[in-house]
Amino acid sequence: MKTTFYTAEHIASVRRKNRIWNLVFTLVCLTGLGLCVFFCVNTNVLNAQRMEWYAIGTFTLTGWIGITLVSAVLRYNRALILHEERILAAGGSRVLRGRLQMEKRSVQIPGGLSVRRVSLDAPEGQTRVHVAEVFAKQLTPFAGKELGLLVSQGFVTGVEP
Amino acid sequence: MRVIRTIVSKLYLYVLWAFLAVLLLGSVFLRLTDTDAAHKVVLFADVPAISDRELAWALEQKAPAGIRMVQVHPFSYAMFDAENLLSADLYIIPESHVEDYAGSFRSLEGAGFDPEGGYFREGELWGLKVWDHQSGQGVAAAYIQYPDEDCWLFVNGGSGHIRSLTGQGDDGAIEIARALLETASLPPRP
Repeated sequence: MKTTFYTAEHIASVRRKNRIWNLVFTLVCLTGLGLCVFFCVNTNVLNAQRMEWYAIGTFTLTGWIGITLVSAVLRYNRALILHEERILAAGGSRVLRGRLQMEKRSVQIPGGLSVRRVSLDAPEGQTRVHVAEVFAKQLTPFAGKELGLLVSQGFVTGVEP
Repeated sequence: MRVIRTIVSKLYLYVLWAFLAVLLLGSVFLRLTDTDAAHKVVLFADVPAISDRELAWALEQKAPAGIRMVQVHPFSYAMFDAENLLSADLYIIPESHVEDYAGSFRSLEGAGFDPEGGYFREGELWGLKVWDHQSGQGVAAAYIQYPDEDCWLFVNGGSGHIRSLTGQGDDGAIEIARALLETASLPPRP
Protein backbone atom coordinates (compact mmCIF):
# COMPACT_ATOMS: atom_id res chain seq x y z
CA MET A 1 0.00 0.00 0.00
CA LYS A 2 1.38 3.40 -1.01
CA THR A 3 2.05 5.97 1.73
CA THR A 4 2.48 9.64 0.77
CA PHE A 5 4.32 11.98 3.17
CA TYR A 6 3.69 15.34 1.56
CA THR A 7 0.02 16.24 1.90
CA ALA A 8 -2.02 19.42 2.27
CA GLU A 9 -3.23 18.08 5.64
CA HIS A 10 0.33 17.75 6.91
CA ILE A 11 1.11 21.32 5.83
CA ALA A 12 -2.07 22.50 7.58
CA SER A 13 -1.08 20.68 10.78
CA VAL A 14 2.43 22.22 10.73
CA ARG A 15 0.83 25.64 10.14
CA ARG A 16 -1.50 25.08 13.09
CA LYS A 17 1.38 24.08 15.36
CA ASN A 18 3.38 27.07 14.17
CA ARG A 19 0.51 29.41 15.04
CA ILE A 20 0.50 28.00 18.59
CA TRP A 21 4.29 28.42 18.86
CA ASN A 22 3.91 31.97 17.53
CA LEU A 23 1.45 32.63 20.32
CA VAL A 24 3.87 31.16 22.87
CA PHE A 25 6.65 33.34 21.45
CA THR A 26 4.47 36.47 21.69
CA LEU A 27 3.52 35.58 25.27
CA VAL A 28 7.17 35.07 26.25
CA CYS A 29 8.11 38.46 24.72
CA LEU A 30 5.20 40.28 26.38
CA THR A 31 5.88 38.61 29.75
CA GLY A 32 9.55 39.56 29.60
CA LEU A 33 8.78 43.13 28.58
CA GLY A 34 5.99 43.43 31.16
CA LEU A 35 8.23 42.16 33.96
CA CYS A 36 11.02 44.57 32.96
CA VAL A 37 8.55 47.48 33.01
CA PHE A 38 7.26 46.26 36.41
CA PHE A 39 10.81 46.20 37.81
CA CYS A 40 11.53 49.68 36.41
CA VAL A 41 8.30 51.16 37.78
CA ASN A 42 8.87 49.67 41.24
CA THR A 43 12.46 50.84 41.50
CA ASN A 44 13.44 53.11 44.36
CA VAL A 45 16.73 54.15 45.90
CA LEU A 46 16.72 51.17 48.26
CA ASN A 47 16.01 48.37 45.81
CA ALA A 48 17.50 49.80 42.59
CA GLN A 49 20.42 47.38 42.45
CA ARG A 50 18.24 44.34 43.09
CA MET A 51 15.62 45.45 40.58
CA GLU A 52 18.31 46.05 37.95
CA TRP A 53 19.59 42.48 38.33
CA TYR A 54 16.02 41.12 38.22
CA ALA A 55 15.34 43.08 35.03
CA ILE A 56 18.60 42.02 33.38
CA GLY A 57 17.94 38.39 34.35
CA THR A 58 14.38 38.48 33.03
CA PHE A 59 15.36 40.24 29.80
CA THR A 60 18.21 37.78 29.20
CA LEU A 61 16.21 34.64 29.97
CA THR A 62 13.11 35.60 27.98
CA GLY A 63 15.39 36.68 25.13
CA TRP A 64 17.15 33.32 25.15
CA ILE A 65 13.81 31.50 25.15
CA GLY A 66 12.68 33.75 22.28
CA ILE A 67 15.85 33.07 20.26
CA THR A 68 15.41 29.32 20.81
CA LEU A 69 11.76 29.45 19.74
CA VAL A 70 12.48 31.50 16.63
CA SER A 71 15.49 29.55 15.41
CA ALA A 72 14.62 26.01 16.50
CA VAL A 73 10.85 26.01 16.05
CA LEU A 74 9.31 28.91 14.11
CA ARG A 75 11.94 29.23 11.37
CA TYR A 76 12.23 25.45 11.10
CA ASN A 77 8.49 25.04 10.68
CA ARG A 78 8.37 27.85 8.12
CA ALA A 79 11.16 26.18 6.15
CA LEU A 80 9.30 22.86 6.33
CA ILE A 81 6.06 24.43 5.06
CA LEU A 82 7.88 26.11 2.17
CA HIS A 83 9.68 22.89 1.34
CA GLU A 84 6.47 20.83 1.38
CA GLU A 85 4.64 23.41 -0.74
CA ARG A 86 7.47 23.41 -3.28
CA ILE A 87 7.47 19.61 -3.52
CA LEU A 88 3.67 19.49 -3.84
CA ALA A 89 3.72 22.22 -6.51
CA ALA A 90 6.38 20.31 -8.47
CA GLY A 91 4.18 17.14 -8.37
CA GLY A 92 4.98 14.02 -10.43
CA SER A 93 6.94 11.72 -8.12
CA ARG A 94 8.85 8.93 -9.82
CA VAL A 95 9.23 5.49 -8.25
CA LEU A 96 12.70 4.12 -7.50
CA ARG A 97 13.07 0.52 -6.38
CA GLY A 98 15.87 -1.09 -4.39
CA ARG A 99 17.16 -1.96 -0.91
CA LEU A 100 16.82 0.99 1.47
CA GLN A 101 19.81 2.23 3.46
CA MET A 102 19.39 5.21 5.83
CA GLU A 103 22.02 7.32 7.51
CA LYS A 104 21.49 7.70 11.24
CA ARG A 105 22.57 11.33 11.50
CA SER A 106 20.61 14.18 10.01
CA VAL A 107 22.15 17.23 8.39
CA GLN A 108 20.83 20.74 8.09
CA ILE A 109 20.46 22.05 4.55
CA PRO A 110 20.40 25.76 3.65
CA GLY A 111 17.05 27.16 4.71
CA GLY A 112 17.16 25.39 8.06
CA LEU A 113 15.54 22.09 7.10
CA SER A 114 16.96 18.89 8.68
CA VAL A 115 17.24 15.97 6.27
CA ARG A 116 18.68 12.46 6.31
CA ARG A 117 20.54 10.86 3.45
CA VAL A 118 18.95 7.74 2.02
CA SER A 119 20.36 5.37 -0.56
CA LEU A 120 18.63 2.70 -2.62
CA ASP A 121 20.77 -0.27 -3.71
CA ALA A 122 19.50 -1.76 -6.96
CA PRO A 123 21.14 -4.16 -9.49
CA GLU A 124 21.56 -1.21 -11.88
CA GLY A 125 23.38 0.89 -9.27
CA GLN A 126 22.94 2.98 -6.13
CA THR A 127 20.66 6.02 -6.00
CA ARG A 128 21.09 8.69 -3.31
CA VAL A 129 18.18 10.87 -2.22
CA HIS A 130 17.10 12.77 0.93
CA VAL A 131 14.23 12.41 3.31
CA ALA A 132 13.05 15.28 5.47
CA GLU A 133 13.85 14.53 9.16
CA VAL A 134 10.18 14.92 10.03
CA PHE A 135 9.31 11.96 7.73
CA ALA A 136 12.39 9.85 8.48
CA LYS A 137 10.66 8.03 11.34
CA GLN A 138 8.05 6.66 8.89
CA LEU A 139 10.83 5.30 6.70
CA THR A 140 12.98 3.75 9.43
CA PRO A 141 11.01 0.44 9.69
CA PHE A 142 11.82 -0.23 6.03
CA ALA A 143 15.61 0.09 6.40
CA GLY A 144 17.39 -2.87 4.82
CA LYS A 145 14.28 -3.99 2.96
CA GLU A 146 13.42 -4.01 -0.74
CA LEU A 147 10.85 -1.35 -1.53
CA GLY A 148 9.82 1.42 -3.88
CA LEU A 149 10.39 5.03 -2.94
CA LEU A 150 8.39 7.91 -4.39
CA VAL A 151 10.92 10.65 -5.16
CA SER A 152 10.45 14.25 -6.27
CA GLN A 153 13.15 16.97 -6.50
CA GLY A 154 15.60 14.59 -4.81
CA PHE A 155 13.38 14.09 -1.76
CA VAL A 156 11.49 11.00 -0.68
CA THR A 157 7.79 11.88 -0.84
CA GLY A 158 6.35 8.47 -0.08
CA VAL A 159 6.92 4.75 0.19
CA GLU A 160 5.55 1.81 -1.80
CA PRO A 161 6.47 -1.46 0.00
CA MET B 1 18.94 16.70 19.09
CA ARG B 2 17.96 19.15 16.34
CA VAL B 3 17.07 21.78 18.94
CA ILE B 4 20.40 21.34 20.76
CA ARG B 5 22.25 21.59 17.44
CA THR B 6 20.36 24.79 16.61
CA ILE B 7 21.15 26.27 20.04
CA VAL B 8 24.85 25.45 19.65
CA SER B 9 24.94 26.95 16.16
CA LYS B 10 23.35 30.17 17.48
CA LEU B 11 25.49 30.40 20.62
CA TYR B 12 26.89 33.76 19.52
CA LEU B 13 23.33 35.15 19.48
CA TYR B 14 22.75 34.09 23.10
CA VAL B 15 26.00 35.76 24.18
CA LEU B 16 25.18 38.93 22.22
CA TRP B 17 21.71 39.02 23.76
CA ALA B 18 23.16 38.81 27.28
CA PHE B 19 25.50 41.73 26.47
CA LEU B 20 22.59 43.71 25.05
CA ALA B 21 20.53 43.05 28.20
CA VAL B 22 23.29 44.35 30.47
CA LEU B 23 23.95 47.43 28.30
CA LEU B 24 20.31 48.33 27.65
CA LEU B 25 18.97 47.79 31.17
CA GLY B 26 22.13 49.23 32.68
CA SER B 27 21.49 52.51 30.86
CA VAL B 28 17.75 52.39 31.69
CA PHE B 29 18.50 51.96 35.40
CA LEU B 30 21.20 54.60 35.26
CA ARG B 31 18.50 57.02 34.09
CA LEU B 32 16.00 55.73 36.64
CA THR B 33 18.40 56.18 39.52
CA ASP B 34 19.56 59.62 38.48
CA THR B 35 18.02 62.94 37.58
CA ASP B 36 19.22 66.36 36.49
CA ALA B 37 21.19 68.46 38.96
CA ALA B 38 18.28 70.90 39.34
CA HIS B 39 16.18 68.22 41.02
CA LYS B 40 18.68 66.35 43.16
CA VAL B 41 20.86 67.02 46.15
CA VAL B 42 24.16 65.13 46.36
CA LEU B 43 25.96 64.45 49.61
CA PHE B 44 29.54 63.19 49.55
CA ALA B 45 30.94 61.75 52.76
CA ASP B 46 34.65 61.19 53.35
CA VAL B 47 34.10 58.52 56.00
CA PRO B 48 35.23 54.89 56.42
CA ALA B 49 31.76 53.45 55.64
CA ILE B 50 28.29 54.71 54.87
CA SER B 51 24.93 53.07 54.22
CA ASP B 52 24.49 55.27 51.19
CA ARG B 53 21.20 53.90 49.83
CA GLU B 54 19.49 53.77 53.23
CA LEU B 55 20.62 57.28 54.17
CA ALA B 56 19.60 58.63 50.74
CA TRP B 57 16.18 57.06 51.17
CA ALA B 58 15.80 58.53 54.69
CA LEU B 59 16.84 62.00 53.50
CA GLU B 60 14.56 61.77 50.48
CA GLN B 61 11.61 61.44 52.87
CA LYS B 62 12.50 64.90 54.19
CA ALA B 63 13.32 66.48 50.80
CA PRO B 64 11.45 69.71 50.01
CA ALA B 65 9.21 70.07 46.96
CA GLY B 66 11.23 70.32 43.79
CA ILE B 67 13.91 67.88 44.97
CA ARG B 68 13.12 64.50 43.48
CA MET B 69 16.23 62.68 44.55
CA VAL B 70 18.91 62.63 47.21
CA GLN B 71 22.15 60.86 46.41
CA VAL B 72 24.68 59.86 49.04
CA HIS B 73 28.13 58.76 47.95
CA PRO B 74 31.34 57.77 49.69
CA PHE B 75 34.40 59.56 48.30
CA SER B 76 35.51 56.35 46.57
CA TYR B 77 32.53 56.85 44.23
CA ALA B 78 34.40 59.71 42.57
CA MET B 79 37.52 57.61 42.01
CA PHE B 80 37.16 57.69 38.24
CA ASP B 81 35.25 60.93 37.81
CA ALA B 82 36.23 63.82 40.06
CA GLU B 83 33.48 65.91 38.40
CA ASN B 84 30.93 64.07 40.57
CA LEU B 85 32.81 65.07 43.67
CA LEU B 86 33.19 68.72 42.68
CA SER B 87 29.52 69.11 41.75
CA ALA B 88 28.11 67.71 45.02
CA ASP B 89 25.96 69.98 47.18
CA LEU B 90 26.92 68.81 50.66
CA TYR B 91 30.08 67.31 52.09
CA ILE B 92 30.94 65.48 55.29
CA ILE B 93 34.66 65.90 55.83
CA PRO B 94 36.93 64.77 58.69
CA GLU B 95 38.78 67.51 60.52
CA SER B 96 42.18 66.54 59.05
CA HIS B 97 40.96 66.91 55.43
CA VAL B 98 38.96 70.11 55.70
CA GLU B 99 41.71 72.33 54.33
CA ASP B 100 42.13 70.04 51.28
CA TYR B 101 38.62 70.85 50.09
CA ALA B 102 38.09 74.25 51.69
CA GLY B 103 38.28 76.01 48.31
CA SER B 104 34.97 74.47 47.25
CA PHE B 105 33.04 75.43 50.39
CA ARG B 106 31.34 78.66 51.36
CA SER B 107 30.21 80.43 54.48
CA LEU B 108 26.91 79.38 56.03
CA GLU B 109 26.18 82.85 57.42
CA GLY B 110 22.58 83.74 56.73
CA ALA B 111 21.25 80.20 56.42
CA GLY B 112 19.99 80.22 60.01
CA PHE B 113 22.12 77.37 61.37
CA ASP B 114 23.05 77.35 65.07
CA PRO B 115 26.64 78.61 65.12
CA GLU B 116 27.46 76.96 68.45
CA GLY B 117 30.30 74.48 68.08
CA GLY B 118 30.56 75.24 64.38
CA TYR B 119 33.62 75.40 62.16
CA PHE B 120 34.64 79.03 61.84
CA ARG B 121 36.82 80.61 59.22
CA GLU B 122 37.70 84.30 59.22
CA GLY B 123 35.04 84.78 61.85
CA GLU B 124 32.26 83.25 59.79
CA LEU B 125 30.42 79.99 60.24
CA TRP B 126 31.54 77.61 57.46
CA GLY B 127 30.88 74.12 58.78
CA LEU B 128 28.58 72.29 61.17
CA LYS B 129 29.83 69.55 63.44
CA VAL B 130 28.25 66.22 62.54
CA TRP B 131 30.51 63.94 64.58
CA ASP B 132 32.13 64.65 67.91
CA HIS B 133 34.87 62.13 68.36
CA GLN B 134 35.32 62.81 72.10
CA SER B 135 31.72 62.16 73.05
CA GLY B 136 31.08 59.66 70.24
CA GLN B 137 27.92 61.57 69.33
CA GLY B 138 26.98 62.42 65.79
CA VAL B 139 24.22 62.79 63.25
CA ALA B 140 22.85 59.81 61.34
CA ALA B 141 25.23 57.58 63.26
CA ALA B 142 23.08 54.59 62.32
CA TYR B 143 24.01 55.19 58.67
CA ILE B 144 27.53 56.56 58.88
CA GLN B 145 30.62 55.00 60.35
CA TYR B 146 32.71 58.02 61.32
CA PRO B 147 36.51 58.11 61.58
CA ASP B 148 38.45 58.68 64.80
CA GLU B 149 38.25 62.48 64.53
CA ASP B 150 35.61 65.18 64.40
CA CYS B 151 33.66 65.52 61.15
CA TRP B 152 32.04 68.58 59.64
CA LEU B 153 29.25 69.29 57.21
CA PHE B 154 29.95 71.86 54.50
CA VAL B 155 28.06 73.19 51.50
CA ASN B 156 29.46 73.59 48.02
CA GLY B 157 29.59 77.27 47.10
CA GLY B 158 28.58 76.38 43.53
CA SER B 159 25.46 74.44 44.52
CA GLY B 160 22.18 75.51 42.97
CA HIS B 161 20.31 74.47 46.10
CA ILE B 162 21.49 77.09 48.64
CA ARG B 163 19.13 80.00 47.99
CA SER B 164 19.40 81.24 51.62
CA LEU B 165 23.08 81.88 50.93
CA THR B 166 23.19 82.90 47.27
CA GLY B 167 19.66 84.13 46.58
CA GLN B 168 19.50 81.83 43.56
CA GLY B 169 17.94 78.43 42.86
CA ASP B 170 16.18 76.60 45.68
CA ASP B 171 17.01 75.73 49.27
CA GLY B 172 17.09 71.94 48.80
CA ALA B 173 20.63 71.42 50.11
CA ILE B 174 19.96 73.59 53.16
CA GLU B 175 16.77 71.66 53.92
CA ILE B 176 18.53 68.32 53.51
CA ALA B 177 21.36 69.54 55.76
CA ARG B 178 18.77 70.48 58.41
CA ALA B 179 17.14 67.05 58.08
CA LEU B 180 20.54 65.41 58.50
CA LEU B 181 21.34 67.48 61.59
CA GLU B 182 18.00 66.58 63.16
CA THR B 183 18.70 62.87 63.03
CA ALA B 184 15.73 62.11 65.23
CA SER B 185 13.45 63.56 62.54
CA LEU B 186 14.63 60.98 60.01
CA PRO B 187 12.40 57.95 59.45
CA PRO B 188 13.61 54.72 61.07
CA ARG B 189 16.34 52.95 59.14
CA PRO B 190 14.73 50.52 56.63
